[in-house]
Amino acid sequence: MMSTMAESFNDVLAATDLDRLERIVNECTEQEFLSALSRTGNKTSIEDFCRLISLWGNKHIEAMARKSNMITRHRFGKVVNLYAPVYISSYCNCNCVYCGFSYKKKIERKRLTMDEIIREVKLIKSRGVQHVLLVAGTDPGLLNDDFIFKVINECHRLVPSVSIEVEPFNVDVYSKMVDHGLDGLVIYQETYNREIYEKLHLAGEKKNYFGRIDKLEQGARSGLRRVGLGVLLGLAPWKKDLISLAMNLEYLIKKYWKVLFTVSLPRFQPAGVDFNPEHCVDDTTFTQLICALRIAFHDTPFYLSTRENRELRDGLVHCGVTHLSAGSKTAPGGYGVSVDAEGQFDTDDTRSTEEIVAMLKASGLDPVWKDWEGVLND
Amino acid sequence: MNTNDVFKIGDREFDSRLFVGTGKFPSCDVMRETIQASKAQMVTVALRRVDESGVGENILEFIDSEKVLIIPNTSGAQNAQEAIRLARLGKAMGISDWVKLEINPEPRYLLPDPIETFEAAKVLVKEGFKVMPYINADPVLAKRLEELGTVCVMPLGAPIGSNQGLKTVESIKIIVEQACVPVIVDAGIGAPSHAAHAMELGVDAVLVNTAIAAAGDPVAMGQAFAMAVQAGRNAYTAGLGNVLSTACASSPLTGFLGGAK
Repeated sequence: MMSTMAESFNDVLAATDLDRLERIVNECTEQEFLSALSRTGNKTSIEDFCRLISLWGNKHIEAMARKSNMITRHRFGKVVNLYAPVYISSYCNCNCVYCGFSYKKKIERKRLTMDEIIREVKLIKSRGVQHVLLVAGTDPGLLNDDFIFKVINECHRLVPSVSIEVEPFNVDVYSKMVDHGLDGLVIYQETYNREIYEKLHLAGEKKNYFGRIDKLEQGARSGLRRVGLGVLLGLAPWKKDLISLAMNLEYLIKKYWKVLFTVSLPRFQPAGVDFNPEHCVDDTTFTQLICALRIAFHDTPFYLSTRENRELRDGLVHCGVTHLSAGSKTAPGGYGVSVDAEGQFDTDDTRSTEEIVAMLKASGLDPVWKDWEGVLND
Repeated sequence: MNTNDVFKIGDREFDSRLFVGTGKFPSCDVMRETIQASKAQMVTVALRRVDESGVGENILEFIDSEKVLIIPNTSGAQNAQEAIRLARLGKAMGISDWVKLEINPEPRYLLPDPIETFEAAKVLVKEGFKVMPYINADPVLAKRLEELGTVCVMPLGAPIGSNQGLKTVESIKIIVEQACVPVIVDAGIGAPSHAAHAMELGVDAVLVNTAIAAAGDPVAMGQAFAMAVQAGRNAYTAGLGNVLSTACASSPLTGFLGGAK
């Protein structure tokens, strides 16, 4: 796709004719789709990726799923990695119209104390979880008195792998987090459609569209091992979003060769907000998009949260997904400290970790709780 | 079969020349059965997968350490310091003072970093570890590591998990020719025929993971590899015929000249 590296993915996007690529999606013939699907090798052109997300994928979804599964099993084996989010704060100084933590929403806010966070992590650890994803709104209070660094440090002592999904900081903050034991970061762009992005993100640091795109690179430069990206499906027309995501992923992989980039495609689920997504993606297309990404990116781990229902999650672990969250609670203290707090989004798959483990074993997959070693981050 | 053909590495002797990796299996039970079926006496385990929390399954409990040598590997390490920390952890946990030294700074092809591997080997050999370095098929690096005191060298046939076979065959031949320590082909072996080919070349052993673990029937594939490794070894010790570009008749046409008397 690219010959020389740009300074920022923003420059790449600015120089890309997304309309042309979208036309490839829309005008793709069945024969072109099948040719793209049958091509082998580690390198998929952006044009072929466009063909793989064309409407023909709905008709040939089984063939896509088979190819996606074959690649996934070969690269990752017959295993699925499990993790759980720990929500540490619902305070937020951003106003994003679709989010339950937006400061405009009248909810009771909670920021867990250190003791509460430790209790939550110990609780999910007792259920087997060894990979914790710390989640919070854009809460400046997290930086007071180095709180977030101390949190990371404590969690790092308890579990081998600690990731964070907190509204973006900068490279210096990320580097300090790495020094305290952080190994992964997730920053969703939500949408690459600038116009819609600016309509949905009304206040706070997240309002800055270009700045948000660059935050991924700040994370990648900080010494983190894993950096996750994705779009929130439902917010904007998905074709250009998926093309942009694929291009962003390829750009990052090339530029930051030591970082493992991971992808997730959350679909919008309401949480106490009056927001109706205009660009819903149905289950078949959602499956197709995951398969298309897998066919284009053999080595990229794909995460799937409990936003999706059990039937879909049970199916998608055979279509390219490599990481599942299990038994998730999306409110601060949700595992035991404060069970009635309000969540960021509604979960659909409410099964316990034991039930997820049983499902995976029954379908011939090994549930892996631990695939990291804390001393790597010491 | 040559029954005196014992494989010696470090201070240990083995009947089997097949190492099995323990990632990617559909379950720990299948892994255990496969190890038995493959008759492997050496298995590698990623320390990052070892879970001693007591809640999840601990992969180590599925490996009979009486029968097989468990060799921790340092996968996940991107540099010498991380690999050294992992090796020390494996020793401190009581798993082993053997270590498969694997330093992959790049997460996609997982190719080994020669500089970091050399630096880590220097430290670990001094600390008394039996170091098994995973390297690209670089004959000079192999000799340099041997000089440091590693117990073997483990050149790759192709990128880890790629199943591509012996893409580096010409370099592996040079490594075999020059080595004073065992040569174990580590990555890329995707089929029993690849393993047999490697053994025919005179490598001392092979390490296989993906081709077995991700097979339709891992247990049966483990057996198939055991047979292929043995067949390749037997062929090597028996002495393979030369490959000629011209025909060489079994009954010489010029026997009448007297030379055949």
